[in-house]
Amino acid sequence: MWAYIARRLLLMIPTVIGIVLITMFLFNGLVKDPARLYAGKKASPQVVESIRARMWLDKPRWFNFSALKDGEFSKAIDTQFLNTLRFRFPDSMRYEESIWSIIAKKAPVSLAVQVPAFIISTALELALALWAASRRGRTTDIVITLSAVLLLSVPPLSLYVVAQWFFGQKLGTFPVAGWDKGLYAIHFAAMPIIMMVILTVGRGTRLYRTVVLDEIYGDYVRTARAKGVNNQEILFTHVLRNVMIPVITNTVTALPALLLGALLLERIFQIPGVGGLMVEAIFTNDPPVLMGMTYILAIMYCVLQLVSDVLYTIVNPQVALK
Amino acid sequence: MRKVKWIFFAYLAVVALIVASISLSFTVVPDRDPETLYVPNLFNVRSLDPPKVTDVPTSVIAGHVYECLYNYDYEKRPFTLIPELADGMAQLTPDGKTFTVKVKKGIHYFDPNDQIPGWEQVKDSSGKVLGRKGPAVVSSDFVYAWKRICSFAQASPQYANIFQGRIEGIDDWWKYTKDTKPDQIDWNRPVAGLVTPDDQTLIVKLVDPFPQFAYLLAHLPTTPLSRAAVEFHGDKFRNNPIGTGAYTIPASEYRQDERLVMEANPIYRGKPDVDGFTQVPANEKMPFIKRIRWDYFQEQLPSWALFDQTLMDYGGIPKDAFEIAMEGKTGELKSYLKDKNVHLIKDIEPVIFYYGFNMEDKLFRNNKPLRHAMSMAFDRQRMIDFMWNGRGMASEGPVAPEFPMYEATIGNPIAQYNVAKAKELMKEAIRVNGGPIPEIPLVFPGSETFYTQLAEITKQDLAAIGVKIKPEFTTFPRYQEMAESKQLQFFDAGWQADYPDEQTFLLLFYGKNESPGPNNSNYKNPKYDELYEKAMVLPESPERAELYRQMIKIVQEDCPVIFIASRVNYAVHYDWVSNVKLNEFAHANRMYWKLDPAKRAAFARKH
Repeated sequence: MWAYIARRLLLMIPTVIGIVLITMFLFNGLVKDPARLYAGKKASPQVVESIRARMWLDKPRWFNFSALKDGEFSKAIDTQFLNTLRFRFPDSMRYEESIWSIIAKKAPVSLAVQVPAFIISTALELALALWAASRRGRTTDIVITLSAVLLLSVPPLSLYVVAQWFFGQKLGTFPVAGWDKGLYAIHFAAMPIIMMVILTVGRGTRLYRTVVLDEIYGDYVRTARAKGVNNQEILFTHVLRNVMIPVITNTVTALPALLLGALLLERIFQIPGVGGLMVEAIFTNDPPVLMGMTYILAIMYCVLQLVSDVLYTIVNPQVALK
Repeated sequence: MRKVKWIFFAYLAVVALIVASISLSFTVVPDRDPETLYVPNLFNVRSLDPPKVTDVPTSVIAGHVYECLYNYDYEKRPFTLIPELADGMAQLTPDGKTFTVKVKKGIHYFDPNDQIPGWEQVKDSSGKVLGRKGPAVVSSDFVYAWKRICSFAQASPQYANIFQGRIEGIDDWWKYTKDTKPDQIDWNRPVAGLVTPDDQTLIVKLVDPFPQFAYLLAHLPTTPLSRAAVEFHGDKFRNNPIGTGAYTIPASEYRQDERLVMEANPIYRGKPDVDGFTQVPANEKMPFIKRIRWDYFQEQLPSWALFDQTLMDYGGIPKDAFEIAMEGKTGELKSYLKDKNVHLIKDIEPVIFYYGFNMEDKLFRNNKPLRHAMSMAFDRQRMIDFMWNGRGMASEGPVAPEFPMYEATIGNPIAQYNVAKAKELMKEAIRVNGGPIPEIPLVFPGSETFYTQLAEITKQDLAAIGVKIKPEFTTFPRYQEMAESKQLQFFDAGWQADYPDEQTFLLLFYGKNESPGPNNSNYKNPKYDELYEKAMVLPESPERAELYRQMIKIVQEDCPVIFIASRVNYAVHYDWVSNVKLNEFAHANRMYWKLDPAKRAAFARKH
């Protein structure tokens, strides 16, 4: 397994370089001059020049050979490409802080909504999938499957706006929008969590139902039934264990999205998390934040793919990593 | 085998715990303070450090903490300057190049965080520490603050907006800061155009005559700064504003992207136009409201819902809520809002929107009938109704409403919607062009829905006279690049007034301001330029007004742009908030507002 992990880590190097190149192209290639864009209509060339310096756009793009000739290695690698590769980003133009400190402030807020929603929806998805699959073709299965499809079809924005209007404005059950520190966060997080669960539970239920159905007709289940093992025991011990591999894949690969938050949800419910940060960065023209976040999330995704592969072997030792 | 089963059940237990916590949300409700005014903030505050205050919404917030040499009278229209930190109006030399300003005595900085070493602690009657009183404002504080704006590391757009090319020696200072490491900058290095003979006198020497510079002294970024406070907080000064204004923002109450709370400054003198030693009667002492909480909303609809629930005391009317708030025909609030004692206030933005013709383009250069026809074919009122829910005023000339010379723009026949006349003019336009008018690309600086809808309306209007428009939606940098290199043929544009002097609009048509300057129409008329140059050096006077009037008429007749409209802002407030007026130029407007907590509580009990 260790050899496999080492090999995967080595393979990540070209992947990471590719990610940096793509993000650089996206942010510096497609937008001709981000500094000009930020500076606005009335800015003079001098102001644009100083903004370029703050965005590190005045640094060489790839490698500073002239600095290397002078023997200044740290200056030679102080370039746009190599800085990104080393997770060194210019400060946010709007917050005037490093991306790391902004994430440190905002990630807990996003996670406060995303993690509970994720835990609840995963439990609901699994439970509903097991229930529906064990009653395949019966009314329970049809109702669960239809409801899942229905929930999948709900446009998030409509759901948010209707929920804000009905539960917030009309009934006053939940606050319409907002956020607060400490325990008061629960007051504001409740409705967004419920919204997230409603929006995600349909997709997972359908996916896991299919997975459970694949397992439920397996030879080992038939054998267990022939041996007189009851249905509950079959579902919660034999089937559940084999279902865990797609569940883990789905769960682990969803983790970066938890950190990213829900872009629209955070915007509508005014949650000051990472999702809102990304949207705000787009609207306020903050390339360092956009570029840094894109890169960090891409790397997280690569690492978590590896983690999910390793977890397979823990859940099911029959899976061998080669 | 059983391990997986138990993990699953343990997981379900965690789920149950979370669900139980969510149900707690009904009991954990934050308290509301009866003495606090709750208002929404629909734009995020970028930075409260003056060089970085570049947008109006941030300026509104920062304007309650900082003061300038001048401010605007809260109520008077046309907008009128009043001395704030200045002791009287600025004296201008006859050559129009040197301003001398006296600084009021006894006005002190206040640190609400009780941090700046050496500053005197301020306590209330119970002995609770409120913050620290700093030194009194002196003329060199202005010089320091302005030099800071004009330093390379700040990258402040205000350098270009206010100072660049205007003050003697300031551009050399910028170059000096560019070539010097930030921590090695000598802030005492003299700048020829900024002189402080004593603590109460500030002399500003301009490169060219520019009487409007007085207005820039009311521009928030020109506020003085305490060097000790800036150096104490360093990069964090943006979140720890320290000024002399009516309100303070304690660091603990400033949660960016969420909300901020302003507290009344305990050492504020009570009125903007008195010095630090004048005793203001208690009933006249401002700010009237102790605390203002600004909640930030990225979307407007939630803020409207909270206003409807009376959780906000004041707010705007979002486009999507317009129909449920307003009677379309009368332009008044719907009865259910009137029943709740909601009041409507309107305010015209000092902005003009227009479509520009590139006057160097051969299609438009010598074809006045074409320009006139296109201007007359555009239905401004339909655009205002459709795009802005009727919240706008059609423009007929280069000056926005609420400016004294706006009256001179009224009655421009070329800005009246008249398709029949436009069709007649088109015959002449085709003759002048020597053939049919080719398809014209109309460039927009973005691709948002607003622009696509505006493009569609314009396309329909101009198609009625046989002019084919091809909308092009580009990014702002590309648009800017095209404007600067004179590549725009026909383009969408807008211009916001920097100060309440018509010159701020008229400069758009001055020949020497052609691209890459703000005159993106590249309009040149020697007569107009001559009048502009004459008016530029004159202070406000009937003579200057006459020159402005002539310039307006020339632009209207030459029609280098199609004037479209100015936008009108609508805002609402409950009747427990009073003395509410909107003033686009003045800062610290909220210090004039009054709150009646008893009335608000009575309303809450009743509903």
